[in-house]
Amino acid sequence: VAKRYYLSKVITVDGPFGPERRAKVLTQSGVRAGVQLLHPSGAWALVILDATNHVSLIADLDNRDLPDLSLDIKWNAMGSVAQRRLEHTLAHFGIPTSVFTEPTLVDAYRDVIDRIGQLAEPTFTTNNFDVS
Amino acid sequence: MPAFLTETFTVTSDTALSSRTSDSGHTWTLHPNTSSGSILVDASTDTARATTTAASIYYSSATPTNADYDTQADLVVKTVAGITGVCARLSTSATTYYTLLYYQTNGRWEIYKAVSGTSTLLGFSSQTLTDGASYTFRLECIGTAIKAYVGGTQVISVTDSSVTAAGRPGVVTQLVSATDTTGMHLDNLSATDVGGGGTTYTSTLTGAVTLAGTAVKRTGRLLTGAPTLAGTVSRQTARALAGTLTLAGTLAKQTARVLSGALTPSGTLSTALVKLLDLAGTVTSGGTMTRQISRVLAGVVSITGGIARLTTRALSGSVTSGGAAVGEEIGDLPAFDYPLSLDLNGPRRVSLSQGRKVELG
Repeated sequence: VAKRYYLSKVITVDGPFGPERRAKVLTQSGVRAGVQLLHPSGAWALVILDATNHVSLIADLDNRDLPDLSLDIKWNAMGSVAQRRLEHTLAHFGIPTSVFTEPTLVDAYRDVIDRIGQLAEPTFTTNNFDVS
Repeated sequence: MPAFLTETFTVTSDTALSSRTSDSGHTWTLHPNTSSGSILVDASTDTARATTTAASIYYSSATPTNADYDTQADLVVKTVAGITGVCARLSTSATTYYTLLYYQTNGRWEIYKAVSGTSTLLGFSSQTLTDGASYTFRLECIGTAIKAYVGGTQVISVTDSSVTAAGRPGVVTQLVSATDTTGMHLDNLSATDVGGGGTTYTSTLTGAVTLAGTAVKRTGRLLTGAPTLAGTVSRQTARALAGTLTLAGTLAKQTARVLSGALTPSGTLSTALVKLLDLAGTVTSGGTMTRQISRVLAGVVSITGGIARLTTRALSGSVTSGGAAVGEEIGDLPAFDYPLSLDLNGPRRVSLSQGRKVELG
Protein backbone atom coordinates (compact mmCIF):
# COMPACT_ATOMS: atom_id res chain seq x y z
CA VAL A 1 0.00 0.00 0.00
CA ALA A 2 1.45 3.34 -1.04
CA LYS A 3 0.21 6.83 -1.64
CA ARG A 4 0.96 8.63 -4.83
CA TYR A 5 -0.12 11.80 -6.60
CA TYR A 6 -1.92 11.56 -9.91
CA LEU A 7 -3.33 13.80 -12.57
CA SER A 8 -6.42 12.22 -14.04
CA LYS A 9 -9.08 12.75 -16.61
CA VAL A 10 -12.47 13.77 -15.17
CA ILE A 11 -15.51 11.64 -15.98
CA THR A 12 -19.15 11.70 -14.97
CA VAL A 13 -20.42 8.86 -12.80
CA ASP A 14 -23.64 8.03 -10.98
CA GLY A 15 -23.05 8.83 -7.33
CA PRO A 16 -25.40 8.30 -4.41
CA PHE A 17 -26.76 11.83 -4.83
CA GLY A 18 -26.96 11.79 -8.63
CA PRO A 19 -24.54 12.30 -11.50
CA GLU A 20 -21.22 13.74 -10.43
CA ARG A 21 -17.81 14.50 -11.84
CA ARG A 22 -15.03 12.36 -10.55
CA ALA A 23 -11.38 11.72 -11.29
CA LYS A 24 -11.31 8.60 -13.42
CA VAL A 25 -8.47 7.10 -11.42
CA LEU A 26 -10.64 7.12 -8.28
CA THR A 27 -13.29 5.03 -10.00
CA GLN A 28 -10.90 2.18 -10.69
CA SER A 29 -10.48 -0.91 -8.55
CA GLY A 30 -7.71 -1.24 -6.02
CA VAL A 31 -7.94 2.31 -4.70
CA ARG A 32 -8.27 2.10 -0.93
CA ALA A 33 -8.45 5.82 -0.22
CA GLY A 34 -8.18 9.02 -2.18
CA VAL A 35 -8.98 12.69 -2.39
CA GLN A 36 -9.53 14.69 -5.53
CA LEU A 37 -9.36 18.30 -6.57
CA LEU A 38 -11.25 18.98 -9.77
CA HIS A 39 -10.16 21.83 -11.98
CA PRO A 40 -13.21 24.03 -12.68
CA SER A 41 -12.78 23.47 -16.41
CA GLY A 42 -13.23 19.73 -15.94
CA ALA A 43 -10.03 19.15 -17.89
CA TRP A 44 -8.17 17.42 -15.09
CA ALA A 45 -8.15 16.45 -11.45
CA LEU A 46 -5.30 16.37 -8.99
CA VAL A 47 -5.49 13.27 -6.84
CA ILE A 48 -3.62 11.62 -4.04
CA LEU A 49 -4.59 8.03 -3.53
CA ASP A 50 -3.62 4.97 -1.61
CA ALA A 51 -3.64 1.76 -3.62
CA THR A 52 -2.27 -1.72 -3.24
CA ASN A 53 -1.05 -1.73 -6.81
CA HIS A 54 -0.46 1.32 -8.91
CA VAL A 55 0.51 -0.60 -12.03
CA SER A 56 -3.03 -1.07 -13.30
CA LEU A 57 -3.83 2.57 -12.60
CA ILE A 58 -0.78 3.80 -14.48
CA ALA A 59 -1.59 1.52 -17.40
CA ASP A 60 -4.64 3.67 -18.14
CA LEU A 61 -3.40 6.58 -20.21
CA ASP A 62 -6.12 8.80 -18.74
CA ASN A 63 -4.18 8.63 -15.49
CA ARG A 64 -0.68 9.97 -15.06
CA ASP A 65 1.12 9.40 -11.81
CA LEU A 66 3.43 12.15 -10.67
CA PRO A 67 7.00 11.32 -9.63
CA ASP A 68 7.05 9.20 -6.50
CA LEU A 69 9.40 11.45 -4.59
CA SER A 70 9.49 13.09 -1.20
CA LEU A 71 7.69 16.41 -1.24
CA ASP A 72 10.69 17.92 0.50
CA ILE A 73 13.15 17.05 -2.24
CA LYS A 74 14.61 20.16 -3.77
CA TRP A 75 13.70 21.00 -7.33
CA ASN A 76 17.34 21.08 -8.33
CA ALA A 77 17.84 17.66 -6.77
CA MET A 78 14.95 15.98 -8.55
CA GLY A 79 16.95 15.26 -11.64
CA SER A 80 16.21 16.12 -15.21
CA VAL A 81 14.40 12.85 -15.91
CA ALA A 82 11.78 13.52 -13.24
CA GLN A 83 11.53 17.16 -14.29
CA ARG A 84 10.98 16.25 -17.94
CA ARG A 85 8.42 13.66 -16.95
CA LEU A 86 6.55 16.26 -14.94
CA GLU A 87 6.61 18.62 -17.90
CA HIS A 88 5.15 16.00 -20.20
CA THR A 89 2.47 15.05 -17.68
CA LEU A 90 1.41 18.64 -17.22
CA ALA A 91 1.41 19.23 -20.96
CA HIS A 92 -0.80 16.17 -21.44
CA PHE A 93 -3.50 17.84 -19.35
CA GLY A 94 -2.92 21.33 -20.71
CA ILE A 95 -1.36 22.60 -17.51
CA PRO A 96 1.24 25.30 -18.14
CA THR A 97 4.76 24.31 -17.16
CA SER A 98 5.24 27.88 -16.04
CA VAL A 99 4.14 26.62 -12.63
CA PHE A 100 7.76 25.56 -12.22
CA THR A 101 9.16 29.04 -12.61
CA GLU A 102 6.46 31.61 -12.01
CA PRO A 103 6.31 33.75 -10.03
CA THR A 104 9.63 32.30 -8.89
CA LEU A 105 11.51 29.09 -9.41
CA VAL A 106 10.00 26.42 -7.19
CA ASP A 107 12.09 25.43 -4.22
CA ALA A 108 10.91 21.88 -3.67
CA TYR A 109 8.66 19.24 -5.20
CA ARG A 110 6.00 20.27 -2.67
CA ASP A 111 5.80 23.66 -4.33
CA VAL A 112 5.11 22.03 -7.70
CA ILE A 113 2.13 20.13 -6.28
CA ASP A 114 0.95 23.22 -4.43
CA ARG A 115 1.03 25.34 -7.57
CA ILE A 116 -0.80 22.73 -9.63
CA GLY A 117 -3.48 22.51 -6.95
CA GLN A 118 -3.76 26.26 -6.67
CA LEU A 119 -4.73 26.42 -10.33
CA ALA A 120 -7.94 24.67 -9.26
CA GLU A 121 -8.32 25.93 -5.69
CA PRO A 122 -6.46 29.09 -4.70
CA THR A 123 -6.16 28.00 -1.08
CA PHE A 124 -4.84 24.55 -1.94
CA THR A 125 -1.92 23.18 0.03
CA THR A 126 -0.43 19.72 0.13
CA ASN A 127 -0.58 19.99 3.90
CA ASN A 128 -4.34 19.69 3.63
CA PHE A 129 -4.68 17.13 0.89
CA ASP A 130 -4.17 13.66 2.23
CA VAL A 131 -5.72 10.33 3.11
CA SER A 132 -4.94 7.48 5.44
CA MET B 1 -14.63 24.93 23.44
CA PRO B 2 -17.96 23.62 24.66
CA ALA B 3 -20.31 22.01 22.18
CA PHE B 4 -23.12 24.26 20.97
CA LEU B 5 -25.20 21.20 20.11
CA THR B 6 -25.45 18.00 22.09
CA GLU B 7 -27.82 15.20 21.28
CA THR B 8 -27.92 11.76 22.91
CA PHE B 9 -31.25 10.79 21.31
CA THR B 10 -32.57 9.66 24.69
CA VAL B 11 -36.35 9.24 24.55
CA THR B 12 -39.00 7.30 26.43
CA SER B 13 -41.00 6.46 23.31
CA ASP B 14 -40.27 6.39 19.61
CA THR B 15 -40.19 10.00 18.42
CA ALA B 16 -39.92 11.54 14.96
CA LEU B 17 -36.67 13.48 14.79
CA SER B 18 -38.64 16.53 13.70
CA SER B 19 -40.49 16.38 17.05
CA ARG B 20 -37.36 15.91 19.08
CA THR B 21 -35.63 18.54 21.21
CA SER B 22 -31.94 17.83 21.70
CA ASP B 23 -30.20 17.71 25.06
CA SER B 24 -28.92 21.21 24.35
CA GLY B 25 -32.48 22.41 23.70
CA HIS B 26 -32.42 22.58 19.91
CA THR B 27 -34.96 21.29 17.44
CA TRP B 28 -34.52 19.33 14.23
CA THR B 29 -36.05 20.25 10.87
CA LEU B 30 -36.37 18.09 7.78
CA HIS B 31 -34.58 19.87 4.96
CA PRO B 32 -37.15 21.12 2.41
CA ASN B 33 -35.27 19.47 -0.48
CA THR B 34 -35.58 16.02 1.09
CA SER B 35 -39.26 16.22 1.91
CA SER B 36 -39.74 12.46 1.50
CA GLY B 37 -37.19 11.72 4.17
CA SER B 38 -37.86 10.43 7.65
CA ILE B 39 -35.65 9.73 10.64
CA LEU B 40 -36.93 8.27 13.89
CA VAL B 41 -35.45 8.47 17.36
CA ASP B 42 -35.74 4.88 18.60
CA ALA B 43 -36.66 4.48 22.27
CA SER B 44 -35.35 0.92 22.51
CA THR B 45 -31.84 1.93 21.45
CA ASP B 46 -31.78 5.68 22.13
CA THR B 47 -30.41 6.21 18.66
CA ALA B 48 -31.60 7.88 15.45
CA ARG B 49 -32.29 5.76 12.39
CA ALA B 50 -33.81 6.13 8.93
CA THR B 51 -37.32 4.84 8.33
CA THR B 52 -37.25 5.34 4.59
CA THR B 53 -34.75 4.70 1.82
CA ALA B 54 -35.36 8.19 0.48
CA ALA B 55 -32.74 10.80 1.19
CA SER B 56 -33.27 12.35 4.62
CA ILE B 57 -31.42 15.46 5.69
CA TYR B 58 -32.25 17.23 8.93
CA TYR B 59 -30.71 20.42 10.23
CA SER B 60 -30.48 21.57 13.81
CA SER B 61 -31.70 24.91 15.11
CA ALA B 62 -28.35 25.23 16.86
CA THR B 63 -26.38 28.08 15.34
CA PRO B 64 -22.58 27.98 15.28
CA THR B 65 -20.60 31.09 16.14
CA ASN B 66 -18.96 31.01 12.74
CA ALA B 67 -18.26 28.58 9.90
CA ASP B 68 -15.42 26.87 11.75
CA TYR B 69 -16.89 23.97 13.67
CA ASP B 70 -17.02 20.22 13.73
CA THR B 71 -19.92 17.80 13.82
CA GLN B 72 -19.35 14.48 15.50
CA ALA B 73 -21.45 11.39 16.16
CA ASP B 74 -21.25 7.71 16.88
CA LEU B 75 -22.20 5.38 14.05
CA VAL B 76 -23.92 2.47 15.76
CA VAL B 77 -23.80 -0.44 13.35
CA LYS B 78 -26.62 -2.91 13.78
CA THR B 79 -26.02 -4.10 10.23
CA VAL B 80 -24.02 -2.32 7.56
CA ALA B 81 -26.52 -0.83 5.12
CA GLY B 82 -27.10 2.28 3.07
CA ILE B 83 -25.76 5.72 3.90
CA THR B 84 -25.59 7.44 7.27
CA GLY B 85 -23.64 10.52 8.20
CA VAL B 86 -23.43 14.05 9.53
CA CYS B 87 -23.44 17.43 7.81
CA ALA B 88 -21.86 20.80 8.43
CA ARG B 89 -22.44 24.24 6.90
CA LEU B 90 -25.84 22.96 5.88
CA SER B 91 -28.04 25.57 4.24
CA THR B 92 -31.61 25.57 5.55
CA SER B 93 -32.95 26.29 2.06
CA ALA B 94 -30.50 25.22 -0.65
CA THR B 95 -28.99 21.75 -0.99
CA THR B 96 -25.61 23.08 0.04
CA TYR B 97 -23.40 21.48 2.67
CA TYR B 98 -20.43 19.28 3.49
CA THR B 99 -21.12 15.77 4.67
CA LEU B 100 -19.11 12.91 6.09
CA LEU B 101 -20.93 9.63 5.73
CA TYR B 102 -20.39 5.92 5.61
CA TYR B 103 -21.50 4.43 2.28
CA GLN B 104 -22.10 0.70 2.56
CA THR B 105 -22.02 0.08 -1.20
CA ASN B 106 -18.44 1.33 -1.42
CA GLY B 107 -17.41 0.21 2.07
CA ARG B 108 -15.85 3.52 2.91
CA TRP B 109 -16.12 6.87 4.65
CA GLU B 110 -16.74 9.61 2.14
CA ILE B 111 -16.74 13.40 2.23
CA TYR B 112 -19.04 15.10 -0.24
CA LYS B 113 -19.78 18.69 -0.92
CA ALA B 114 -23.14 19.75 -2.26
CA VAL B 115 -23.57 23.14 -3.88
CA SER B 116 -27.09 24.08 -4.91
CA GLY B 117 -27.96 20.43 -5.43
CA THR B 118 -24.81 19.36 -7.26
CA SER B 119 -22.84 16.85 -5.24
CA THR B 120 -19.14 16.16 -5.62
CA LEU B 121 -17.03 13.57 -3.89
CA LEU B 122 -14.05 15.21 -2.22
CA GLY B 123 -12.40 12.16 -0.73
CA PHE B 124 -12.84 8.73 0.78
CA SER B 125 -11.18 6.18 2.99
CA SER B 126 -12.08 2.51 3.01
CA GLN B 127 -12.98 0.68 6.21
CA THR B 128 -14.85 -2.54 6.80
CA LEU B 129 -17.35 -2.02 9.58
CA THR B 130 -18.44 -4.75 11.96
CA ASP B 131 -22.03 -5.46 12.91
CA GLY B 132 -22.59 -4.60 16.56
CA ALA B 133 -19.70 -2.15 16.73
CA SER B 134 -19.80 1.62 17.17
CA TYR B 135 -17.56 4.14 15.43
CA THR B 136 -17.01 7.75 16.45
CA PHE B 137 -16.62 9.96 13.41
CA ARG B 138 -16.16 13.68 13.01
CA LEU B 139 -16.44 16.17 10.17
CA GLU B 140 -14.24 19.19 10.80
CA CYS B 141 -14.57 22.38 8.78
CA ILE B 142 -12.05 25.13 9.44
CA GLY B 143 -11.85 27.67 6.68
CA THR B 144 -11.21 25.70 3.51
CA ALA B 145 -9.74 22.76 5.40
CA ILE B 146 -12.30 19.98 5.43
CA LYS B 147 -11.27 16.89 7.38
CA ALA B 148 -12.68 13.55 8.45
CA TYR B 149 -11.73 11.72 11.60
CA VAL B 150 -12.71 8.17 12.55
CA GLY B 151 -11.91 6.98 16.03
CA GLY B 152 -9.88 10.12 16.57
CA THR B 153 -7.65 9.45 13.56
CA GLN B 154 -7.64 11.77 10.59
CA VAL B 155 -8.51 9.75 7.50
CA ILE B 156 -9.36 12.42 4.92
CA SER B 157 -8.01 15.92 4.52
CA VAL B 158 -9.00 18.12 1.63
CA THR B 159 -9.11 21.78 0.68
CA ASP B 160 -12.35 23.22 -0.66
CA SER B 161 -13.77 26.73 -0.67
CA SER B 162 -17.19 26.04 -2.18
CA VAL B 163 -19.26 26.30 1.01
CA THR B 164 -18.26 29.14 3.29
CA ALA B 165 -21.44 30.10 5.15
CA ALA B 166 -21.76 28.70 8.68
CA GLY B 167 -25.09 27.07 8.01
CA ARG B 168 -26.13 24.44 10.51
CA PRO B 169 -24.99 21.03 11.65
CA GLY B 170 -27.17 18.18 10.44
CA VAL B 171 -27.62 14.49 9.79
CA VAL B 172 -28.15 12.51 6.60
CA THR B 173 -29.41 9.04 5.72
CA GLN B 174 -30.24 7.36 2.42
CA LEU B 175 -30.74 3.96 0.79
CA VAL B 176 -31.72 2.23 4.03
CA SER B 177 -34.86 1.83 6.09
CA ALA B 178 -33.50 0.67 9.41
CA THR B 179 -35.13 -1.03 12.37
CA ASP B 180 -34.04 -1.19 15.96
CA THR B 181 -31.89 -4.20 15.05
CA THR B 182 -30.81 -3.35 11.49
CA GLY B 183 -29.12 -0.55 9.64
CA MET B 184 -26.69 2.10 10.82
CA HIS B 185 -27.89 4.38 13.61
CA LEU B 186 -26.62 7.68 14.98
CA ASP B 187 -25.89 8.41 18.64
CA ASN B 188 -24.07 10.97 20.80
CA LEU B 189 -24.11 13.73 18.21
CA SER B 190 -22.46 17.02 19.00
CA ALA B 191 -21.27 20.13 17.22
CA THR B 192 -18.46 22.27 18.54
CA ASP B 193 -17.01 25.61 17.53
CA VAL B 194 -13.33 25.32 16.76
CA GLY B 195 -10.66 27.88 16.07
CA GLY B 196 -11.82 30.43 18.63
CA GLY B 197 -10.80 31.13 22.21
CA GLY B 198 -7.46 32.29 23.54
CA THR B 199 -5.43 30.81 20.75
CA THR B 200 -6.17 31.89 17.24
CA TYR B 201 -5.96 29.24 14.60
CA THR B 202 -6.85 30.52 11.21
CA SER B 203 -6.64 28.33 8.19
CA THR B 204 -7.70 30.88 5.65
CA LEU B 205 -7.83 34.52 6.56
CA THR B 206 -9.01 37.09 4.11
CA GLY B 207 -9.36 40.03 6.48
CA ALA B 208 -6.96 42.00 8.60
CA VAL B 209 -5.78 40.91 12.03
CA THR B 210 -4.93 43.33 14.80
CA LEU B 211 -3.40 41.99 17.98
CA ALA B 212 -2.83 44.38 20.85
CA GLY B 213 -1.57 41.71 23.18
CA THR B 214 0.81 38.85 23.00
CA ALA B 215 0.45 36.08 20.48
CA VAL B 216 2.16 33.05 21.91
CA LYS B 217 1.56 31.00 18.87
CA ARG B 218 -0.17 32.16 15.81
CA THR B 219 -0.72 30.25 12.64
CA GLY B 220 -2.14 31.85 9.56
CA ARG B 221 -1.78 29.32 6.81
CA LEU B 222 -3.18 31.36 4.01
CA LEU B 223 -3.28 35.00 4.83
CA THR B 224 -4.38 37.54 2.30
CA GLY B 225 -5.14 40.34 4.72
CA ALA B 226 -2.87 42.74 6.51
CA PRO B 227 -2.15 41.69 10.07
CA THR B 228 -0.94 44.35 12.48
CA LEU B 229 0.68 43.11 15.66
CA ALA B 230 1.31 45.65 18.39
CA GLY B 231 2.50 43.15 20.94
CA THR B 232 5.11 40.49 21.04
CA VAL B 233 4.87 37.50 18.79
CA SER B 234 6.84 34.57 20.05
CA ARG B 235 6.01 32.42 17.13
CA GLN B 236 4.37 33.37 13.90
CA THR B 237 3.76 31.10 11.01
CA ALA B 238 2.22 32.38 7.86
CA ARG B 239 2.60 30.00 4.98
CA ALA B 240 1.19 32.23 2.35
CA LEU B 241 1.00 35.92 3.07
CA ALA B 242 -0.22 38.28 0.41
CA GLY B 243 -0.68 41.27 2.68
CA THR B 244 1.58 43.42 4.76
CA LEU B 245 2.81 42.22 8.13
CA THR B 246 3.52 45.10 10.46
CA LEU B 247 5.11 44.49 13.83
CA ALA B 248 5.62 47.16 16.46
CA GLY B 249 7.09 44.75 18.95
CA THR B 250 9.63 42.02 18.94
CA LEU B 251 9.38 39.09 16.62
CA ALA B 252 11.01 36.12 18.24
CA LYS B 253 10.37 33.65 15.52
CA GLN B 254 8.83 34.29 12.20
CA THR B 255 8.27 31.86 9.45
CA ALA B 256 6.68 33.01 6.26
CA ARG B 257 7.06 30.53 3.46
CA VAL B 258 5.46 32.58 0.77
CA LEU B 259 5.35 36.31 1.25
CA SER B 260 4.28 38.55 -1.54
CA GLY B 261 3.63 41.54 0.67
CA ALA B 262 5.90 43.58 2.86
CA LEU B 263 7.32 42.61 6.25
CA THR B 264 8.05 45.68 8.32
CA PRO B 265 9.16 45.08 11.89
CA SER B 266 10.16 48.31 13.61
CA GLY B 267 11.50 46.44 16.60
CA THR B 268 14.43 44.16 16.93
CA LEU B 269 14.58 40.83 15.20
CA SER B 270 16.96 39.61 17.87
CA THR B 271 16.38 35.91 17.46
CA ALA B 272 14.29 36.03 14.40
CA LEU B 273 14.18 33.26 11.94
CA VAL B 274 12.58 34.52 8.79
CA LYS B 275 12.22 31.79 6.31
CA LEU B 276 10.91 33.38 3.20
CA LEU B 277 10.68 30.91 0.41
CA ASP B 278 9.20 33.30 -2.05
CA LEU B 279 9.46 36.94 -1.30
CA ALA B 280 8.18 39.47 -3.74
CA GLY B 281 7.82 42.28 -1.25
CA THR B 282 10.08 44.22 1.02
CA VAL B 283 11.70 43.37 4.33
CA THR B 284 12.77 46.37 6.32
CA SER B 285 14.18 46.11 9.80
CA GLY B 286 15.03 49.08 12.01
CA GLY B 287 16.95 46.86 14.37
CA THR B 288 19.42 44.09 14.19
CA MET B 289 18.70 40.91 12.33
CA THR B 290 20.70 38.09 13.81
CA ARG B 291 19.56 35.45 11.43
CA GLN B 292 17.76 35.76 8.19
CA ILE B 293 17.03 32.99 5.81
CA SER B 294 15.39 33.83 2.57
CA ARG B 295 15.37 31.08 0.03
CA VAL B 296 13.97 32.81 -2.97
CA LEU B 297 14.13 36.54 -2.76
CA ALA B 298 12.71 38.72 -5.44
CA GLY B 299 12.19 41.77 -3.28
CA VAL B 300 14.36 44.09 -1.27
CA VAL B 301 15.89 43.49 2.14
CA SER B 302 17.02 46.61 3.93
CA ILE B 303 18.60 46.29 7.36
CA THR B 304 19.87 49.34 9.21
CA GLY B 305 21.61 47.19 11.79
CA GLY B 306 23.97 44.30 11.41
CA ILE B 307 23.24 40.92 9.92
CA ALA B 308 24.78 38.11 11.89
CA ARG B 309 23.88 35.50 9.40
CA LEU B 310 22.18 35.83 6.09
CA THR B 311 21.47 32.94 3.86
CA THR B 312 19.88 33.61 0.54
CA ARG B 313 19.72 30.78 -1.92
CA ALA B 314 18.29 32.59 -4.89
CA LEU B 315 18.43 36.33 -4.92
CA SER B 316 17.08 38.52 -7.62
CA GLY B 317 16.59 41.62 -5.52
CA SER B 318 19.02 43.56 -3.42
CA VAL B 319 20.30 43.42 0.16
CA THR B 320 21.41 46.55 1.90
CA SER B 321 22.92 46.50 5.37
CA GLY B 322 24.15 49.45 7.38
CA GLY B 323 26.08 47.22 9.72
CA ALA B 324 28.37 44.29 9.56
CA ALA B 325 27.36 41.11 7.85
CA VAL B 326 28.96 38.17 9.56
CA GLY B 327 28.80 34.71 8.13
CA GLU B 328 26.88 35.79 5.12
CA GLU B 329 26.27 33.12 2.60
CA ILE B 330 24.60 33.10 -0.75
CA GLY B 331 24.23 29.82 -2.52
CA ASP B 332 22.38 28.21 -5.36
CA LEU B 333 22.03 31.22 -7.53
CA PRO B 334 19.67 30.21 -10.28
CA ALA B 335 20.85 29.97 -13.84
CA PHE B 336 18.92 33.04 -14.80
CA ASP B 337 20.27 36.45 -15.51
CA TYR B 338 18.81 38.16 -12.49
CA PRO B 339 19.87 41.67 -11.59
CA LEU B 340 21.78 41.30 -8.37
CA SER B 341 23.30 43.84 -6.11
CA LEU B 342 24.93 43.52 -2.72
CA ASP B 343 25.89 46.51 -0.64
CA LEU B 344 27.33 45.33 2.64
CA ASN B 345 29.65 47.48 4.73
CA GLY B 346 31.05 44.61 6.76
CA PRO B 347 33.06 41.54 5.85
CA ARG B 348 31.48 39.25 3.31
CA ARG B 349 31.76 35.73 2.10
CA VAL B 350 29.98 34.56 -1.01
CA SER B 351 29.62 30.87 -1.74
CA LEU B 352 28.55 29.93 -5.22
CA SER B 353 27.41 26.68 -6.67
CA GLN B 354 29.54 25.12 -9.36
CA GLY B 355 29.39 26.94 -12.64
CA ARG B 356 27.90 30.13 -11.22
CA LYS B 357 29.54 33.48 -11.71
CA VAL B 358 29.16 36.71 -9.82
CA GLU B 359 30.68 40.11 -10.37
CA LEU B 360 31.11 42.36 -7.36
CA GLY B 361 31.48 46.05 -8.04
